[in-house]
Amino acid sequence: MRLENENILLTKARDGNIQAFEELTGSFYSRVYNICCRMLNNPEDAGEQAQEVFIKAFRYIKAFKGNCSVSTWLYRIATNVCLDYLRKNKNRKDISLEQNVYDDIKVKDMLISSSPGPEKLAELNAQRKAINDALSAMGEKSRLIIILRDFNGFSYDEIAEITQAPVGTVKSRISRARAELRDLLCEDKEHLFTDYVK
Amino acid sequence: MNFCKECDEYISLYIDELLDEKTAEEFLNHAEQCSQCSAKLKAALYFAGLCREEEEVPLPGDFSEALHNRLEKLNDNRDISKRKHLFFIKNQKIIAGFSAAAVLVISLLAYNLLPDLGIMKKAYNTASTASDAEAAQSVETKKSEDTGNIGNNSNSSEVESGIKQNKDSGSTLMQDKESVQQSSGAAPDSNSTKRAFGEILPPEKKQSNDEEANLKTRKYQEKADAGADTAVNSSEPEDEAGAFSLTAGMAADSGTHISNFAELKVKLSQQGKELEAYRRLIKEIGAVELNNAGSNSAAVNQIEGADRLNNSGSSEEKAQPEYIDCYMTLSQYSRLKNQASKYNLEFGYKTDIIEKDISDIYNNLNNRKIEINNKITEASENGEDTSAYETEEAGLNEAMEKISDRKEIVVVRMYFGLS
Repeated sequence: MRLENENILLTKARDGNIQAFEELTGSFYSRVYNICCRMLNNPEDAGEQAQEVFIKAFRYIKAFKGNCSVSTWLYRIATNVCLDYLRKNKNRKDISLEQNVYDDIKVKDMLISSSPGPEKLAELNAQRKAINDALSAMGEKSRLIIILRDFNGFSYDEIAEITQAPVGTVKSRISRARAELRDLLCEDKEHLFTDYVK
Repeated sequence: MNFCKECDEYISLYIDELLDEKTAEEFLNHAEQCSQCSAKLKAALYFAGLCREEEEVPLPGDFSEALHNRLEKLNDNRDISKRKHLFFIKNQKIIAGFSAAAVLVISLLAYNLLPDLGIMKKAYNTASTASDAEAAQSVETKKSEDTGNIGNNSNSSEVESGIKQNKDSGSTLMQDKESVQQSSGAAPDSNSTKRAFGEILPPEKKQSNDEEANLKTRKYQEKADAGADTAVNSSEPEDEAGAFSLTAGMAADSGTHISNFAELKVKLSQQGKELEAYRRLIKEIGAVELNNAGSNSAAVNQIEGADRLNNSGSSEEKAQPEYIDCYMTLSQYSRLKNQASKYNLEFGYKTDIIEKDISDIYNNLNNRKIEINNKITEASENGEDTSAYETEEAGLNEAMEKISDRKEIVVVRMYFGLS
């Protein structure tokens, strides 16, 4: 039923029906936006590029052959848009998500505290910032794989479809990316992540 | 299994629960014993957990509206593009049609115009120049063959005028090209077409084209000759071998006769016997008197009486003629001068040997011959003796033949006068 509905919307969208297109793709707005946020580490750029993803999708929807799900197709466009943007804007400084998303509390060498509350929140904020910084320091493809697997929970097969890579390649990329992230976080920020140490 | 060496892979697979139960248990047992693998495993599990716990970043409030507006704009632009595209396609067809028509018109014009341009005329002039040179050369060749003819001016002048006329009527020649080809049964001349477009022909083709041009040149030369009775009849098929070879000897058929000619004079004494003496001298050297046919046959004198024609300038036989024409060879001419004293004759020279048109002498002989023929016919019908007429006719034929041949022949006009 859902599939039939999707096919109908797809047909209408191919004919230029905006409403049908929005209905078809609207449920994926947030996820696409988040992928862009994590990849670009800049909310403004993420918003523009996320719209660009759907504009492109609407423009080239007639070329969509239906050999994968609409979501996979959209995520694929999103990853490509982000990668293209990053390549064109390599020198651009990332604006930490923390400034817009999290509280404006910069935590650097905070002591680890087990008590919950604001201190815990600050600790988490610091950790998130550290992770985002680490992601920014990683390579584009490693970053992408972490975002798709650990941030968005895509399966290996889905990641393989999105990135158009074999599953084996996806496995090795994930393991390397996680190792890289770990090394980056444990280098100077080990003290922020003492819970696991304990 | 070397868990230490491939620790990261096993950790990643363990985190994502992709290890089978047995492998997972073995790896955990190894991690408990290996501090490095244990630390890595713990760190990886923690960080992966942190990432998964990350909340989604909320979508900007105006995201949907902004996107919708952009989609609308995109749709509008698409419609405009479609209309422009269709408009262009329609115009493109029209433009393509006009372009094709223009190309066709230009091609047709170029095809029609090119033969009228200087290219064809230039090619023709080049060919006619070559043909003129050849025709002039053939004239010179024929002149050299006629050793007795010095300065065959009138005939060559006719040829030259024909050549000149041919040059001036260049376009006429090309227009009549087809008629010539048709009369000769020649195939359409593609070489001429190529010449029209200024193509450079290989030497062998050029030579053949020149020969063809020479052929046409000769034909028009003959047409240009005044009173050219035996000029090429255009209805006659052309013989490229030489039916139209241009020779000065054709003058024989054209009514003009050129011969060596000399004028002498003899002063008459009171006795007036010089004429008789001269005739005896002519007889001795073997020359032949032309204007007094009666000198060869007494019977003819009797028959013809006073109506005998001669070109002596006197209509009466017994009256002293102003002059007598004889033809003789050059050697006989020399003897005539040498033997003059033997007959008490003193020759004066009005002219030395020159080339002169003696057509009047020849025509008089011819007219006389026609008369003799008529008389022979009449006498035969009447049953009369025709031997005398036949003898005279033979003499006339011989004289006319000599004149036509004119090799080593001199026509001598002897004047008889008191001074």
